[in-house]
Amino acid sequence: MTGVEEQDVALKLLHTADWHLGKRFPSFDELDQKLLTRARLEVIDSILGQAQRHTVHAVLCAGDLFEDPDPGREWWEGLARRFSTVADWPETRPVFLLPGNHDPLTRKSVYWPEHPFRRALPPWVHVVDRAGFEYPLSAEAVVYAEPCQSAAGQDDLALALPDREPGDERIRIGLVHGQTTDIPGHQSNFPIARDAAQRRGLDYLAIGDTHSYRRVSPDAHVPVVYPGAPEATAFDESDAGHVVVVFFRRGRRRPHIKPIRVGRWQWEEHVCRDLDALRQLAARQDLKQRVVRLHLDLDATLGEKAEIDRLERELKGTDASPGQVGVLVVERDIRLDTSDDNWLDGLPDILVSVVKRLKAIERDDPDTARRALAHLHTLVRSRSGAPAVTSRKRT
Amino acid sequence: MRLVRLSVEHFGCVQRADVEFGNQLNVLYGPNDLGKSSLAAAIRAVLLLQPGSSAHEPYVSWQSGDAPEVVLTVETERHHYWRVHKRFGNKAVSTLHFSSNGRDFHCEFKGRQVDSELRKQLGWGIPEPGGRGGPRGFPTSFLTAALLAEQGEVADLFDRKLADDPDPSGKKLLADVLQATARDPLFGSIVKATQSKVDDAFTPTGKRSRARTSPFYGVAQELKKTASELDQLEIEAQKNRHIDQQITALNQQLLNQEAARERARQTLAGIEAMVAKQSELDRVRGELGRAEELIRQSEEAQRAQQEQFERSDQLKAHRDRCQEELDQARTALTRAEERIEQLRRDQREQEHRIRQCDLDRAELEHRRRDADDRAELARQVDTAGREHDRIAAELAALDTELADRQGQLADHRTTLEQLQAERDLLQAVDKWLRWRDLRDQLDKADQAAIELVQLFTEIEELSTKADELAEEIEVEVAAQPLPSAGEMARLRDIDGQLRVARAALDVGISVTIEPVNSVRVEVACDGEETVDLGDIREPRTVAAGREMRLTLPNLATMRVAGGSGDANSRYRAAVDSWAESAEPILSAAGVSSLDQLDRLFEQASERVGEIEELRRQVELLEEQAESKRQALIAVQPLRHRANALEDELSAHDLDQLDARVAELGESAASAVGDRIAAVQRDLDAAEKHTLHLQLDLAAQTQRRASTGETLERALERREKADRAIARLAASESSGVGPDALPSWQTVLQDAEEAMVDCERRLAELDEQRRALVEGASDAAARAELEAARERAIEAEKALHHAVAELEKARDELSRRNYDAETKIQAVETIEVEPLRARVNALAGELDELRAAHGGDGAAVASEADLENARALVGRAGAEVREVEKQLDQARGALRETGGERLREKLDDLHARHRQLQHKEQDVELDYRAWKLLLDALLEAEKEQAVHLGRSMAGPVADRFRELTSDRYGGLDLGPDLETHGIFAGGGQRRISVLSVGTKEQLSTIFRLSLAERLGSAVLLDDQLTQTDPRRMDWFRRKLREISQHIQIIVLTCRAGDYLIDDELPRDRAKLKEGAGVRAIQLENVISRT
Repeated sequence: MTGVEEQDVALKLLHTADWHLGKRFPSFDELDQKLLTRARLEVIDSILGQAQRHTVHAVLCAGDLFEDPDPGREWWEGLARRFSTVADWPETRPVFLLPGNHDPLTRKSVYWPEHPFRRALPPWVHVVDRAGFEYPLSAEAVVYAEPCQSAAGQDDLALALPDREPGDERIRIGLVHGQTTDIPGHQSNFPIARDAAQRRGLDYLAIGDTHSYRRVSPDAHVPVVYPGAPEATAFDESDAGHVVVVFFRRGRRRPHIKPIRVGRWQWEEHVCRDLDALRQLAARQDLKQRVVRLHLDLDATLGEKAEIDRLERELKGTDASPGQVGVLVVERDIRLDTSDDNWLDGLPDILVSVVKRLKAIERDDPDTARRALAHLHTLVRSRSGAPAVTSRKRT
Repeated sequence: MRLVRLSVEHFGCVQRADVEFGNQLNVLYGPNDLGKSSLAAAIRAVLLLQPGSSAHEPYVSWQSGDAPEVVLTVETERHHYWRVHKRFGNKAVSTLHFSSNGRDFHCEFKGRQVDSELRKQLGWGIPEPGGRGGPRGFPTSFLTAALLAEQGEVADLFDRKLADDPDPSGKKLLADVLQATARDPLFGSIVKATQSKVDDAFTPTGKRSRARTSPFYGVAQELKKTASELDQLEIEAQKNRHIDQQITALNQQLLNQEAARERARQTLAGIEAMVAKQSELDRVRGELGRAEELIRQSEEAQRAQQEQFERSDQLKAHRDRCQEELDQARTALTRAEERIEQLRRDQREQEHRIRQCDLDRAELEHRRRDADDRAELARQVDTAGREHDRIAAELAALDTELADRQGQLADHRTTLEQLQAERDLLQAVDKWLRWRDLRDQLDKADQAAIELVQLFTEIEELSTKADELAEEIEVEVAAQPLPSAGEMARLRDIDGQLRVARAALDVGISVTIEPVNSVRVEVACDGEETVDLGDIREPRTVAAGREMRLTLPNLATMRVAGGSGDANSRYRAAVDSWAESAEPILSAAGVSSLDQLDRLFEQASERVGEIEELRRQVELLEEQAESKRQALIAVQPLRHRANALEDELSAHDLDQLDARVAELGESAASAVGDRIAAVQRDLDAAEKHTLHLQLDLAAQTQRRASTGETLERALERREKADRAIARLAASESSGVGPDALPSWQTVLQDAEEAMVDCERRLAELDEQRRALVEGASDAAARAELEAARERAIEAEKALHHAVAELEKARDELSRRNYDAETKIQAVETIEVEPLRARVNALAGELDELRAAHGGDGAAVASEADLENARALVGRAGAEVREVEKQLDQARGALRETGGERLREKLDDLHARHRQLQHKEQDVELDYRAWKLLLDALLEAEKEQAVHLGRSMAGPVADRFRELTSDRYGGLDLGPDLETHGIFAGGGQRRISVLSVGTKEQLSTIFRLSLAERLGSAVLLDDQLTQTDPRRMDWFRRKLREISQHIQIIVLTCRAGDYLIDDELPRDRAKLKEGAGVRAIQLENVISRT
């Protein structure tokens, strides 16, 4: 705890959101899809571990915990099992699960009181399964929550929270899911007014929806915080992978907020415009826990293409060996330069004549002919020992 | 191909010979004239010569003249053994047997098919026998010259070329083989890898493979699935976008409507303010008006009070005048009453006279009425007579018209009957025609019934035949049960396992026995018969393919098996499995091999096919029969119809109908229909006209009856009038006879005269009475009296009126006094000026309001304006509520469609779809490139392989250079392997310049190279006789080297040229097997005649 003495703390909360359990990643290979999909459930252990480590008083899960209202048995069962098997979890530490727009509270959702998911949860897990949800954490603190009850909506759920009654001096925590209206380029779904927390007399508004960690209006008197997704779901989520621990000191309204990294995967994009850039990437040793989108946008001789293929195999891995990168997606825009004939030295005449034929065709159908030449080059190389990579003639 | 065994009988000088060849180098040696070339010729003959050809004659047994007979077993490919048996001559025999193990043969071809099959299999450029251009005599080709060259034709190969072959199969075989074997290993490997890639993606016809293993399949399926999901999501997203747009539009609409409502509210408020102001103004104005009215009324009341004072004075004067007038009138009245009394007395006398005049007048009135009655009676008689005459004339005219109409009706009835008769006849003709048509159909149906019976018979026969065949097969199957398809599959599986297991053992075994002392050895290789090697003292090597049993009599038996322990285990397991599972089935089926079982299956299949064919025929016939039966059933109603028509036609003269049909011509059926329709139309028209006539006639008859009745009534009236006249006349002249009675004209004239007289007398009487009445009264007195009375009455009335007026004036005066006093008091409290000031202020405020609301400043906000403004506000409010309702609905719909979540999924899927499209394009490009590469590789290879000489020249030249210590360079071979020359001394030389020995060496190398390429056995019939020992040594080594790949059969009289001493069989041994060399001592093999 930075600058906050343990005995001085009146309330500690762990705030998380946007787990998206059951989310698929169709743009990835099948194995990678499974890896990334499973990671959503695996990170729950880290989240609960952080809650334990910080001995928080409650865990607030601010919506979109499942990708869909009824994501399939393996997901809700997996989550319930993780809750049930977490070690040394005190009964007095509640966990609040809030339905978001991805997993709204409907009759078919896992949150519905009759759903088997509810029976599988330990008693300290509370589902916000009604409007006007209120849960006193202690004599000094109370949680108010409003669930999303549909996939889309225009209601401000934060403004649906009750006002502070005169004389109410408790720490009032709001828990809703929605979009603050200052996100450019987004049409607001369940909009949250910037001053909603203040208008309702809250001390902290825990919200979910945006996958990057973000404090809405950092200078505002009442903090409104997106903890972000604990595991990123896309390359444009720059600051995903966190949960937030919120500390309320005695006698002070304004809490201290501390983001903590829990995600395993870091997502990053690379554009390689020459072979050296690719070589540098391949030389990195920290790619095991990375999800990398690699865009190869470069010109290459047949020899360089062979090296590119090799480096790509090393990064991606093969059936026989794991790759250097945890998850790799490659987009290729490689323009082949077939003018280099050095590799023909020592080849049988018949193969030389084949190359000449293909080069003749290259004038009419350059893409196919160049790819064919690349195939031939690869076959020759694999059968006659790897010749030295010939660099593309640069002008 | 390799030769396995040769058996010869009665072939030239050879009485009998039986040779088993080794797989590699076979050196068959013996002295001259032993029959070596006969054996070579026997091989050529059995492979190439048709048994009935006269070309066999040189080979007829020299001694006995028996027909030469040759049996040759060859292995064309692994596990494909063929045994050719030919007996040449008049009793020619030719068979070709096949075996998969070299032991169990079965006959595949006989007679002419043998050569046909052989030439096809060998592919040596010899056409199949019998066709146009087929060879006569001993056929030869480039490859027969190369592989089976006769002894003296060693250099003949240099004069041949493939293009001269009678069949292109030789060139094709060589092209295929050379193309495959000439490949550079790297090139071959690349072709193979490329072909594999292309095979993965394309069908043999070059189309994209749709197989699951195709590289296109996975991505295409995934793309299809993604596209499908995308389409579904797009539909939802479209809905979502639509709802979004709807919400945006509705929000805008709501703003507009709220603004409109606000404007309407403001307008209403303005109007309400104006109305309130107007109301206030009106109220104040009312107050002002009322005040002014009160003042005016006050003034008016004072004026009226004054006037009333004046009027009261006038009325008093008037009353006095009226009183005076009344007094004068009363005096005059008294005088008039006195005079009237006198007059009344005179009047009573006059009244008596007047009553007498009235009695006279009544008498005259009675007479006049009587005359009037008689005149009326006379006029009635006249009128009744004229009426009777008119009606009688009318009745006569009606009778004439009625007779005319009845005539017309009779004529029409005749026409009608004629038309009905025509119609009935035509209908009978129509039925007649239909009956004849039905009769034709029924005749055909009867014919079909006969055919149906025949079909049933045929079906019965075929069914019986099929059943009999089926029973036969059942009996056969029961006698010789065939395995089921499952068992058959199992057998094939076991057979395959056995072959694979056996092949795994076939790794080649070479055992060298190095005896310490002389030891007798017997050897059996690869399951063949045991060969006694005799006592051996020197090391001896024995070779086998997969197994070998070495027996040292009385000492030991050693079994050597090729392959690993596992392979042997698998082989034994396969053999056991075969014995356990396959042999009982084969035995039950009465066959010894799978092939025989296959043939049994084929035969059974053919029989089943026959049955199925019969059953198909039966089904076909049954379908035909059913079709006919249905047709017959369909005909049955026609038969009933025909019978009904016959009954209907029984009343008609059929000859007449036929005649009428003949009149109608060929298209009678349609003509009669038209004619019936036409007649029916005429008939309908005639019936209609007749009906009109009948109705007309009935009306005329009715009218005549009515006129008759009228006439009778007129007659009655006339008679009645006549009787009245008579009665009148009789009453006036009683006693007069009827003949003396006056006519009605006389009566009328008398009556009119009497009436005129009465009128005149009445006028006189009235004048007389009037005079009496006037004479009986004193008009002046009466008038005076009346005037006096009236004057008195008027005066009294005037007095009363004047008194009343005066009283009223007094009351009015009193009231007006009070009114004036009251109003004066009220006016005294009114302040008019403040009210006027207030009115002006309110009017100003109202003008300001009007100006503020765009009014013209003069118009007054009416109640209607207010109502309109309220209605406008109401409508605006309703529209706002309606838009809010729509907005709520749209938001509700958005809640259902998924909003942001849907967009995220759609983005994910779009990304995936683009990725897959890119991948699909990449895979397509990749495999298009593989295909292009393969095409380029094969084209390059084809271009190279078409020139066969280029493929062959290299290996031949290399070996020749080696043999001749580089004295000679490359061999110049043409595309068809024709020899153009050889390079030596820096230039090309003709072959003819070479020495005989060099030529035969070059030829042998060429032949060996060709055989090597073909993988075929080659026969060298003592063709290196001119070769020196040094080069012979080279050949000996080279032959051993080459024989590792192909079988070489050398026939020679100089065993030492090819064998070393150790390789020669001892004494009377037929052969000796060395390392890859089998030496066969022909003296111990050939029996000469």
